[in-house]
Amino acid sequence: MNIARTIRTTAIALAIALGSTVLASCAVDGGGYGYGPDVDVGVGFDYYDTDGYYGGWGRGYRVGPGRRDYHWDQHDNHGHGSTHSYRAAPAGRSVPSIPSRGHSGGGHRSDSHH
Amino acid sequence: MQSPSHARAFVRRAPLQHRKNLAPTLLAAMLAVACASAAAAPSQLPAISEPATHEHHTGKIVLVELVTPDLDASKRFYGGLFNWTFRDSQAGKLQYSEAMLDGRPVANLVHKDLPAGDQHKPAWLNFMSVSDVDAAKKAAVSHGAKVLFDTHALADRGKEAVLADPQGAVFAVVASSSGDPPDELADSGEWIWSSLITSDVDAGAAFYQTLFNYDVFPVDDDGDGKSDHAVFATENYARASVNSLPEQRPDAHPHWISFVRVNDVDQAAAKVTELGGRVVVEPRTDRQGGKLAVVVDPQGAHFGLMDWNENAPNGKGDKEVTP
Repeated sequence: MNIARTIRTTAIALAIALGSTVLASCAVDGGGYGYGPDVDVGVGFDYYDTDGYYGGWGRGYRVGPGRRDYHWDQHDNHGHGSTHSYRAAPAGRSVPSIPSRGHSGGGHRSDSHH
Repeated sequence: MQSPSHARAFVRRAPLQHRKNLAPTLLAAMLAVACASAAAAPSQLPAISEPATHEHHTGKIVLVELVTPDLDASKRFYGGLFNWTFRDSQAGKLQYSEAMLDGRPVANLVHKDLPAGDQHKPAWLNFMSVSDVDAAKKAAVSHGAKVLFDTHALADRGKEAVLADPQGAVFAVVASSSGDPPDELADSGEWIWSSLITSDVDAGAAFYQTLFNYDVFPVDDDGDGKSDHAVFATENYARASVNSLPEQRPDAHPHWISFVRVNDVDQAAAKVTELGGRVVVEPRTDRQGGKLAVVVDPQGAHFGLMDWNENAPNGKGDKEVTP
């Protein structure tokens, strides 16, 4: 009798433990995608539609930054009369460059203000 | 109502068999708490900044991450190309490897199976810094973006979400819990630049300006009097460019691409081929005599190669500031 009751109590406790574990593994901060140890990779690591086409980069097609001494053609960036749907940088500012200070320090901050 | 003293008396007087049942119950309860805590713990991924910083640079690309179906092959390729070394880890079923260069983290590589027949390709994903992921996501969605993966928190890394801009280019926003990397010039083997290649430069620039408060500098490289691309900047640093899709393929998919700094683009492009990758934009002169190329790793992920010399003379036909 005592043994049967002990087994029954233990079984109930283990069932509660299992249920709690399952519920906890589903409770994800920020919303329901699940990333507990027993859940498949799902932390946003996925294959998205990022495939790009490359080729046909004609003459004048440039993507890189310029150094501080680079003279950019900024014909139409000056607010008044601009047809852009964004706020163009104000007149009188030249295009900044990338950081020039190395990991060990030194160099200087890009200064784009005139 | 039972007083505490009565409760204590009940425990003292409980029959022996009840006390015997108490032990397995308590054990199971403790087990439940332990298991539940482990299951609810967020995945452990490397911090973005090591050591942690107190810096925050909204709109800066602070992490570039590759999802690949063959982690070992990717490590061989990038290790051979850039001398990256790797720190492997596993969190649950998640296998990832942190790429390092001279003790500094430069990228994350994450394994995920790619089922046969799946048309997706491995890709590098750019993470832009924000202070509030949910606010950025809300602003993005209200301006036409789609949420591809909702806000989630990762221990050590911070909060992040994956989005597609209104033209379809995929990017991620992250609020780093270890701060953002400082604004420093990339060494050879580190990410130095990023470009958004999109179907609508104006709309793209407006969208990202809304999100990151970029200063947007429209430029006219081909001299036709119209700006054909623009440069994004914050804190007086150029962060990225936005370019139109090539004229031959206006229907191509808008996307972000990031460039790794190399000492010699021609040599690096040749090494890509030697290691099993492909060159899709041959080394070409960009600004001030600098060179860049676009390549594909053996698994199909695109990225760029770019040299950078602060002191090089301006290239032929390029523009200098007139004294």
